[in-house]
Amino acid sequence: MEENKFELNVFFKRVLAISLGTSIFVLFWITVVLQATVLAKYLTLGAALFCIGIYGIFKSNSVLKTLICMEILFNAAILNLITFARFTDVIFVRGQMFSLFVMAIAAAEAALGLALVIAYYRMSKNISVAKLNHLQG
Amino acid sequence: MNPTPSVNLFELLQKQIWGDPIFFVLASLVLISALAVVLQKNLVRAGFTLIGCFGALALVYFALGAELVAASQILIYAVGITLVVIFAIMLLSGTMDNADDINPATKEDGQETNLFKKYAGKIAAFVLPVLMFILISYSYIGLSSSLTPSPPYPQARMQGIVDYINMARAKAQMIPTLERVGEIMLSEQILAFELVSILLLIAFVGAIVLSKRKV
Repeated sequence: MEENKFELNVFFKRVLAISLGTSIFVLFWITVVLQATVLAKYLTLGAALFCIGIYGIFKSNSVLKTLICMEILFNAAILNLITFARFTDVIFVRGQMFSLFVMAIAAAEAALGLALVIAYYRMSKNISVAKLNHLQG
Repeated sequence: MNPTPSVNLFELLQKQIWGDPIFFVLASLVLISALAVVLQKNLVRAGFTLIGCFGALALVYFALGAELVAASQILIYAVGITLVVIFAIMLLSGTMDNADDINPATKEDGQETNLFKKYAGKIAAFVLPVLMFILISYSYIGLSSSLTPSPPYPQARMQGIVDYINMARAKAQMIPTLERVGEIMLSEQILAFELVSILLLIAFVGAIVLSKRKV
């Protein structure tokens, strides 16, 4: 009885995940078609990427997955910067320059975050997000 | 004043796809690989899927006319950060992201973290997309109305007046953006450039110190 229940639970969660993915995909194309401009298409792609990253950050259980999803968030921001540089600042493309700065800071953040995770793992042999609050004492 | 033409969604979709097939292919690649990264349970596979996501994003940047950013996207993200992440995953033993099946922390600590994760995921998945789409549509409306108060081109209304004008301007001056970016970065923003180099130095020294320390 319990095994049956557990499998049903897993099945429903998988169905939920697949439907989430397809719904984000379908929503993306519906907005692309409805707005039908080049600028809005790329902005919608950035927004969809941002939502995927936010979802991953909230849903992940290990710190490494959270860091990976933060990289996706950074890329959504960079995509928006480049889009606005392309369509509103054609002559001096300052958005591209700023996106290079964002990339450098993201690289620094990834290196420091992974080093922190490795140091924490040496201390407690565990990288679960739910157990990170044991660092204080 | 402006009679909205009767719009067939299927025709619009066809026009979109055949009008910009590169965007269709690239956006599908980016979204599918990003979703695969997020929904994947095996962290090593997620790390390797990240390479595909960032490579497709580099192609998107290239399609937007940002050659320098595309190249550095491949150099920094698709190779550097992804390999660092994969090596960290291999160094640590927790290669599986057991979000659903096994969760000992929630069993010990009670229902709080479990509830938080449940509702946060649902909020991120359902509320945030709607908010972002509304925000984008409003920003687009504000931009177009401020830039072009009276659209004079009836044939360009479908594609968007702002994009039409900007594309024409960009076609008129099709200079590579690489040299302009370099000029601005080394003249106008030289202080930020040097500060970023100092920040990178400090961050990497700090990373070495943190991960070498025997606790």
